[in-house]
Amino acid sequence: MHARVASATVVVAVVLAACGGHSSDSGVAPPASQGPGATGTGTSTGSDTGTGTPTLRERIAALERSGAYPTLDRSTDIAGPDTNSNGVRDDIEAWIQTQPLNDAQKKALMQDARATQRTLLVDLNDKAALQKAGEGFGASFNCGMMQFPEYSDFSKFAGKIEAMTANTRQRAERYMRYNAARSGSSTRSPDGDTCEP
Amino acid sequence: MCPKSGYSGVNNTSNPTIAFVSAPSGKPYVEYGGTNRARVYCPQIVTDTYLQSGAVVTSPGLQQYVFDCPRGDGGHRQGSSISRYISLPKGLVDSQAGILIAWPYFNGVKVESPSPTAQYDFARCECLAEGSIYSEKYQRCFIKNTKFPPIVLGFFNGVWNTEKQAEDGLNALKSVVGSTHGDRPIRYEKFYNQTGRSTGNTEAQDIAETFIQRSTELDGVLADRWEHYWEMLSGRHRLAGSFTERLVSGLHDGGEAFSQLIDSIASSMLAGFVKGLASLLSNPPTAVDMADHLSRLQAIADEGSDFVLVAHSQGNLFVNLAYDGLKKSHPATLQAVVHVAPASPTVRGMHVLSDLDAVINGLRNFGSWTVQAINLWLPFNKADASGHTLVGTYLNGQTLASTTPNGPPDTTPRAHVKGLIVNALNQVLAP
Repeated sequence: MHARVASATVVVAVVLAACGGHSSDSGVAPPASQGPGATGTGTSTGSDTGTGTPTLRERIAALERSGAYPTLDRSTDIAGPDTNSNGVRDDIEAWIQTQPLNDAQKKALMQDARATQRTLLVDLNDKAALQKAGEGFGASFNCGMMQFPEYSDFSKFAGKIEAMTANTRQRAERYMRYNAARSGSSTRSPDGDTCEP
Repeated sequence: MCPKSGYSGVNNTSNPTIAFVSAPSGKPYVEYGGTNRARVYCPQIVTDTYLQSGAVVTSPGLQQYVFDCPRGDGGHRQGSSISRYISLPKGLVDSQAGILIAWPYFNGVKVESPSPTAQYDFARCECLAEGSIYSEKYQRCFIKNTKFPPIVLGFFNGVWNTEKQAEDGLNALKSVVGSTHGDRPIRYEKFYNQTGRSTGNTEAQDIAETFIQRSTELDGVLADRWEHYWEMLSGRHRLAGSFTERLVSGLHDGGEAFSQLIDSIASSMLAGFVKGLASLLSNPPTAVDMADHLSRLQAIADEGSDFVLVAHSQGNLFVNLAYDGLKKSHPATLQAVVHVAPASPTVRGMHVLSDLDAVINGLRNFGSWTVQAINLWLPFNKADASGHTLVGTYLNGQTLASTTPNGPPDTTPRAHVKGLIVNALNQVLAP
């Protein structure tokens, strides 16, 4: 058993290293596209080698310009821009609006985005506020369960919202401090309709 | 004649197995004693024998529970009450079920509902129809307003989950198990623990540090793209449609190096999980670390609920403490535990561990920790290369799995885990 597990671990590592350059499809239907479907390699905007070959950064920037990858706010500000002050960062709100979902589902994602954003801004020394922030997740997930026929679809969106919200080093560190502050907490999953109006 | 109340003085010798109480108030003495149970008192006994076992007497459209009090010896004696738990049929509603009660020797009835969430009330007692073999001796009292407290499914999260990821795990369980089991509502509650140590989150910082160090590679393209970190942490970086996959597929020729960097970092983080778990096993959480969670569990138990506790990965270390602590303080509270990918050397219930779980199985090689036996065999799934995440692997409803080594597929991980939880629920409902 010991050798078999060890070899299995090696096999996993080898497979991980071998993965790359392919679109994955694990049998799960891919979620909606995040923008125009262009997947071009981008145009050359100059390079550091002087040979005209775009750098990896330039290629990524080109993907973002084409819409094949969402352009996220990466400012050093923890909150980021929220022009309409609705508690959701502008770039995340824009991404949600491009998803092929009905209005109720988009509202559920907005609620989840708001709950996630709140964790970056809550006072980490205020236990009551921390608990309320945690309960926000309970409400948003309960709402998501109501609005999405398949829970796994909402789950994937919620994961992406988390990834987008804590997308810079400053935000990631702040988010980690929130989670550390919540360690030891317990939160009841709410019943009924918890979707925000 | 059917007396409505009081001691009838009838010598119940013709049907010694049927007995009990009809008080002046017309209500028998039943006390809620726990899950689906009531305790029935014979307030006055005439012998020292215990209540004999009851039997369910059914007739079309009715469920009745008949229980015994000791048959009289012709004399009457005021004595201490004796009691016995009986299991009441599920789904009792007025006019459909009742407790058949006979009064010959005993009187004095009382309805008690010590738990605010559990109520048994006998709406009325009536004489049975004339001509019934019981009509001369018995009354039937109907149960009304039966209300059971919910079973609480408590979830103890896995390795380095954020609170949001723990919420995801809890709701994934809810989507699998549902909100009722039989006639019992199930309530869900997460018991979140990130580190288990009151000294700080050293292990979590180590995992993030791995990403920080490696993100300087390839001209530092990942340095400010932490969305990929969170995807790797949740095991979703290779899921179709993930941000990481979209970037890799969009880069085409330029994506090979990036893809390899991602896989390499993910592999390093995986190794970090194993190292961190081993560290946690070396310095396991204590009751102090669990104090808040145990207090909450005890408060819920005081409301009358019983528990099914589900734990994933490191959460199993905490659930063991929770189980032991609650058992000590509330021995009458029923609990059952389901261990998913347990990192703990000991368990308190059934477990599931996949052969492809690189984190838990990695513990065998890292310091030779004792871990539970593998009992689920899966094909490799690129969407969760670690084979360890709750949602990606153990609640996957699409991957076929086998419960025997090299055996044919006979389940899915989701169905298998659901089966374990349903068993646990049944265990709590019918102790």
